[in-house]
Formats: sequence, structure tokens, C-alpha cells
Amino acid sequence: MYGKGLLKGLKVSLGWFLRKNVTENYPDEMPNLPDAFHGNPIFDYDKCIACNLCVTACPNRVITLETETVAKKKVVTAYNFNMQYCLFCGFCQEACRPGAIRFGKDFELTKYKREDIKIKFVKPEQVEKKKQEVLQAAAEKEAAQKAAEAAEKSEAKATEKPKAKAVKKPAEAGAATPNNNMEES
Amino acid sequence: MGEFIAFIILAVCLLGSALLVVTLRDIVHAVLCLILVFFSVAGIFILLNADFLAVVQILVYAGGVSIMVVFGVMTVQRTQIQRSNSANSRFLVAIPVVFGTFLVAAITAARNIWTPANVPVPENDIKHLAPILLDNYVIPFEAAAILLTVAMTGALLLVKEVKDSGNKS
Amino acid sequence: MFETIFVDAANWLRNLLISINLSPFVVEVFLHVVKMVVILVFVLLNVMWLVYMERKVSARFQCRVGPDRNGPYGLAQIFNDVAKLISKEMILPTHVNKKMYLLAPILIFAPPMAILAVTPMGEGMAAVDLNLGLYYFVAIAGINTVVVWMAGWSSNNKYSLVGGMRAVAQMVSYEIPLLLALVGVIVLTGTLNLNGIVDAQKSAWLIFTQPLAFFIYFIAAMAEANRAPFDLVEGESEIISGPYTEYSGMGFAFFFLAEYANLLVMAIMTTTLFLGGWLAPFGWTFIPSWLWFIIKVYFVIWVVMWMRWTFPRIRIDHLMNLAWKFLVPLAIANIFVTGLAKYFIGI
Repeated sequence: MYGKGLLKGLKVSLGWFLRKNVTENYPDEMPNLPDAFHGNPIFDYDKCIACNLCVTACPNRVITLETETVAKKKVVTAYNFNMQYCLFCGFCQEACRPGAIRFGKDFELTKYKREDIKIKFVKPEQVEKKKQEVLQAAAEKEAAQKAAEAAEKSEAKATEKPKAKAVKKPAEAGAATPNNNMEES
Repeated sequence: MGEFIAFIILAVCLLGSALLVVTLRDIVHAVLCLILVFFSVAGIFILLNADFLAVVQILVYAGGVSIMVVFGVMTVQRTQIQRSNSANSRFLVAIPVVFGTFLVAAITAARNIWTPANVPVPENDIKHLAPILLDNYVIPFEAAAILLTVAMTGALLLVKEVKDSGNKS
Repeated sequence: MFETIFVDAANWLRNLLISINLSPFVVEVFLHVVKMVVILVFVLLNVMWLVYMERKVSARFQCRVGPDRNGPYGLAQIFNDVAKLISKEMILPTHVNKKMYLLAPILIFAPPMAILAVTPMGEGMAAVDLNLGLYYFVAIAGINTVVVWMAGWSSNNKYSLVGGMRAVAQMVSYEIPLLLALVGVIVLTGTLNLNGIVDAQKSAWLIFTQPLAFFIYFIAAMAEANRAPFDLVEGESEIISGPYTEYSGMGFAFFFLAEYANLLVMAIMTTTLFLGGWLAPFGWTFIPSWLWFIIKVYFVIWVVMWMRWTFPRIRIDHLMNLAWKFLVPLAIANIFVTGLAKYFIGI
């Protein structure tokens, strides 16, 4: 029939007329974002192991990571996120095994001042606290080692040498546990 | 009284714009004045209680003929459209001819004895027009229709696209 | 009570004027002036509403929300639009034909206003009850083109000129089928009076007895109102804005609003001629006649907008082909069949 397509077109557009709106009234209602959305970066200071993987993964060199070695351990002193170069690719999130850097759902990242664009995640008091913790942990470890050595010495007198080596290994593994926990969480 | 004032206004409008049609330098302005002439004529028809004729005047002349004139104007190729309707020098011939014709018409009209019809103009004049056109004078009416159709077909034939072979059919 | 509210108001005004001892002539003149002012206000209000409605309906067809920031449902957007158009500067380009350029926006509102003066908007609610109403409508509607052409020519801009030429060419092609389609209506109703045509539809609306004429008329009238898919005159993707390209501020506002006034006139004429005017369907007379009229008019306008968001713009030569090779023969066939039916069956 002549003009059949026209009627079909009218039917289709009427269907669209009767469909539900797809518009989200954004400032009034926040949009319903998918889980994988890359919004604002979120940094978890305690999870960071200062491995530098996120810095190397970033194509735009957005992230700068500064560390300080305290008692043979790296302590993060600065984790700066230069937002103006970030392209929200999510490589840093992927590279981070402990999940210290990830993206949230907040996309309203406009700032009033230019300097505010650079996000400084690490606060000095956090660094201080961490240093204290590391020092304390190192001291505890040292004490434990000394205690173990003392026990070893006392035990070595009583038993044979091969057994003493087997006792020593669990002590080392115990000292490394905090790191293992971080990776798993 | 009111009718007289209306007539004066319409007549001034009609004659003034008719004069402008022939004197204006810009052919586009001339066309617009021509449309104004048609409207004034329609107004005079309405004053004479000839509603149907007035509407025909607007439909055919102001709507149709003027559009045809516009078509003609748009095919005019002049670099300066302001000078397109150049007032020509045939005024010397035109003035005596026009005045002579006017004089003859005026004398004939004045010498004639007008007998006004005693019947008032019917309210619904189209009801009376239809039987005249389609009953009493149906043959001339149809003949005019055929003539127009023939003219239109002829015009179509004239403007028909010429094929490469020169075959016009 | 609501049925006769406007007629009562007119009668009350007439009685008031007579009671203060004015001569009947003065009273009639005064009443006509009042009617004209009412029509002017009616047109302007509807046009303002149509600007808003167009935005909202367009939005709905695209699953959007449309304007909703100003006032409830974005209704204050109407006033913002109008205020913006009025407050902007009207630029007068150097090389325009000044007289015509300034005259065109003034004249553009005249044809729709003149047509609305004769349309019956409710029972006994025509400002002027003209015997030749339909004929008058057709005659006045043709004038619109000349004004558009004036605007296109005087702008001294190639896009404007192309738009003006398109307007003229389009008018020549759709006016013939439009007139021929209306002949079927005249044959069936036997009158040119718009009130008479509405009265004649009491038994059956003309859309049912003259479906072909309605189809042809609707297409031609859409072309006349410059609505998509026949908005060749504007054709913003091809010739910017056609004849209105050079206009700004008030000048553009007039053309912009006149577009909607023409749409309103087109919808009103479609309603009057084919959809039974102010007659109530199914005998639902509890809704006043003028309200029925408005409902029908807005339904037609909605259908026109629906078409706009369905069909792409037609090409000018396709429009010519459609009008001359398809609609004209169809309209003539319709007249022939209607005449035969009238003669043999005597509907």
C-alpha cells in the first residue's frame, strides 16, 4: 500500500511520545550512576603500601607519591592527585592491589580556586601517626626478635641445631603478617 | 455619509497606488502597489454590496495574479533592481491616448440614461449567482473552462523539457 | 451557564451601551472594536501558549522534560521568551530595501487575524458572520505568501531570497489542491457560511463523509502553515531561516509568532470544516461548545506536531510532484464522486 511507511513512522513516534522520560532532573535529583563509574578519586591512606604502581600506570602523570623510609619501611608522606590532567581511565585503580586508590561516584569536581584542583590526600598528622605506628611496630618486632633469640639460645642449649632453625622461621613470618593482611583486604 | 467617506478613501488609495505602479522606479515596489490596487478595487466592490466579486478580486488578483507577477519579477536579471522599472519616454504618446479614452468613456457614461433596478441587492448573492452560471449560461461557462484548459495544456507543452535528441514529445 | 458565557457578555455590553443612550450605529461599531480586541488577545495568548506547547511536545517526543525551570511546569518560560524577543535590538542591515523590510513584519499578522474574525468559535460565537466565510478564508490565506516574499526580497540576502521564492513556489502548488478539496465540502453542505458548514455536520462530521477531502486539505494546509514536513520556506538546515534570516528583535518576533498564528488558523479551519467545529461528539453537551472547539483545535495542533517529529523535510520538487501529480487528480476525483453521490443519492 502506498504511504504505509508514513503510518508506521507515525506509530513509532507515538510510541516514543508515550514512553517514560529518560531525562534525569540532575540538580534536583542525583543521577543513577553505574557501579563502574569513575568519579572523584578516593585514597585510603592506611591501605597504601607505597608500591608506586599507580604512579607508573597513570598515562598523564597525575599522581605523585612521596615516601620516607622510617625503620626500613616506606611511609607515604604525600599522595598528590593533579585532577586537571586526570582522564578518569581508572588505570591507577586497576594497578593498585590493596585498593588504596579507587574512584567514587561524585562527579561534581569543579573548584572555585585553581590550587584546589590539585588534591593533596595525605595530611601531616596522618604521616606522623603512621611513623609512630611503624616505629612502634619496629620496636615490637625487635623486642620479639630479641625474645625469640633469647628463647632460641636457651632452647639451643637443650635441643639440637636443626630444630632451632625450624623455630626461627615462624617468627619471621609473624613479622610480615601486617603486609599480607593489607593485600588481602 | 459613512459610505461616501469610505469611497473617497478607497478611490484615493486606488488611484494613488495605480499611479505609483507606473511611476515607481523599483519594479518590486510597483508589484506591491499593484496588490494594493487590487485590494482597493475589492473594497469598492464591497461598498457596492458585491461581496462575492470582492472576494474573487482578492483571491484571483491579489492572491493569484500578483503571485504570477512576482514570479515574473524574480526572473528579472538586473544588477540594480532599484532602476528595474525605468520610466520610459513614451509619456508624450501615453498621456493623450489615456485622456482620450477617459474622455470617451466619461462622455458615454454621462449621456447614458441610467435606470436603477428596483430590486435591492440580494443578501446572499452567491445563491443567485450559481443558477446563472451553471444553469442559464452553462454552455459559455463550460466553453470558457475548456478554453482555459486548452491554454494551460498549450503552456505546458511550450515549457516541456526538450530531450537531448530534440524530441519534444 | 458556561455555554453562553461569551454571548451573554456581548449582550450585556450591548445593553449597557444602549442604556447610556448611544446611537445603535455607535454601539455596533464599539462592539466590533471590542470583538477585534478580543480576537487579538485570543490570538496572542494562544500563540504564546503554542510556543510553550511546541517545546513541551517536542520534548515529550524525544523523551525529554522540556522547559521546567521557570515557574510550575516551566510555564513562566512563555513570558521569558516573549520578553527576550521584545527586548532585543532590531538590527537594520545597510543594504536592505528599508520600506519593505520594515513593512513585512507589520503585515504578517494581518491575514491570520482577518481569518479568525469570521470563524465560529462556539455556538453563535463568530465575530463576523460572513455569508462567504469559506471563500473569504481561502482568499485571505493566499495573501500570506506575498508578505513572506516581501520579507525575503527586501532582506537582500541570497538565503532570504531563496526562501521567498520557495514560499511563492510552494503556495502555487498547494493552493490548487486545497481549493479543490474544499469544493467537496461545499457540495455536501451547500453553503459557504462557516456557521452553516458547522450546522450541516450535526448528523455526521465531514471527516467521515469526505475523508479524501480531509486528507488532501490537511496536507495542503500543513504546507500553507509552513509546518514540517513542508517547512521548506524556513528550512533551517538548508537556508538558515529563509526569509527571516536578516530579521532580529521585534521583527523576528513577529514572524516567529505569526508562524504559530498560522498554525492556529490552520487548526481552527480544519476543526470547523471537517471535525464538526463546536459541535459536541457523542452528545456530550455538558462541556460548553467553545471548550469543545478549543479541545479539537488543540488536538489538531498536537497531530501537526506529531507529524513534525515523524517526517523529515520534503524536497521542493517532491512537494511540487506531490501537489500537482498526486493531490490535484485526487481532489478532482473526489469532486466527481461527491457530485455523483449528491446527484444520485441526494445526501
